[in-house]
Amino acid sequence: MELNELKKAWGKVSEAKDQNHLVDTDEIQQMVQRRGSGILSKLERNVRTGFWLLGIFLMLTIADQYIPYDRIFPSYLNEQHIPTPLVIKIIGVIVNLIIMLTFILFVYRYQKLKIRNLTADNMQKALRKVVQLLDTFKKEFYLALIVFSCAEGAGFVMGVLEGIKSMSGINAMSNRRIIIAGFLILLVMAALIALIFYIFHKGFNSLYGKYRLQLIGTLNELEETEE
Amino acid sequence: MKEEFLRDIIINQGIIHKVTRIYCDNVDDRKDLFQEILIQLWKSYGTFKEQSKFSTWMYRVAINTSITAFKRGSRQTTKALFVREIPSIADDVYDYELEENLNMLHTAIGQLTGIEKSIILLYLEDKSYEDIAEITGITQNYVRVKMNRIKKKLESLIKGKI
Repeated sequence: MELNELKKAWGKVSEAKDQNHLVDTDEIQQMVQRRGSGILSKLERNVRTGFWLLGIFLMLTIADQYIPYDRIFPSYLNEQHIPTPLVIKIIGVIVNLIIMLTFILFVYRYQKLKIRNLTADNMQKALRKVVQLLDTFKKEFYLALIVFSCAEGAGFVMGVLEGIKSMSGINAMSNRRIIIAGFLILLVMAALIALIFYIFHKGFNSLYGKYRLQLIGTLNELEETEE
Repeated sequence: MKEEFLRDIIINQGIIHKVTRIYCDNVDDRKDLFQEILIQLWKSYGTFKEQSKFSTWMYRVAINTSITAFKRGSRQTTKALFVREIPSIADDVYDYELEENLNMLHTAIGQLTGIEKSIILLYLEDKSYEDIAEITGITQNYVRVKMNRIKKKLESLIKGKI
């Protein structure tokens, strides 16, 4: 079989088949209003979801700093008042600044990439843009996660130390028992941070990671063709 | 803008049908891809500049969407596509030998990669190397090289009965 011989027949048969599946303007309008099921549509939705989640997370962490707990729970806090160490307050402000900066950078890059129009771009450029966006998002996501985990870990340790200091009878405890207690606390903290990290890592992969790998595969194929 | 978009799509919708047929063999998959392409066309419509032909722009969006649309390997063309279901096709065009050859060709195309499919589709649509290069973003020289490789690959697939 010669490919050239089939070319003409292919065209005629294709055109005849097209006539059987023509859609009208109403159908087109309906389809355009629906949610897309392709990777780019899903990615766009997932990036927007990630965008909002990051925003909500940022709002919550900032709100946490300024919620007047002593007015909301006056009786409880007056009885067990433990002052927040200055270091924790400083760490809190730094973490918020880092997360805020990450968030602003992500919004800026997201807008700059114009993900809505990617498919009209040159194929390689379009794929590079999507992969670039996902890489940026991945780095920023993990940066925020690491910073958050470290801050939470530091806060947890400082809180426990302050609590131990204020405990009555702490002086009666032997050094060995204090070391064991400290080790156990660190172990619990490490396990909690590892769990949080694992859950977020899995979530990231199912929302973005698998699509990123697939698009990298297609991009590699395209770049291979140019060599 | 919406009226213009609808008018352009109605006139050129054959392009979307052709692209979906190359990338999917299942009717449901084709409908999903058709819809996805329409969505992407609508989203990008504002970027269409009259420097290029609307059909060229439409091919680019449709092919880019198809290549990136779905999970790799989940939508492959393997089944017979050109079955005798269209009474409008003249008998001299639609003979059984031709039908068999077209089905073999379609099945062989199903074995190609996403980018190779786009190049062979444009070749079968009688597009020039210049147009293929413009649509796919690959250089003209490379389109030629790639086309020769695809032809050999298809011939070997068909000779080996796929």
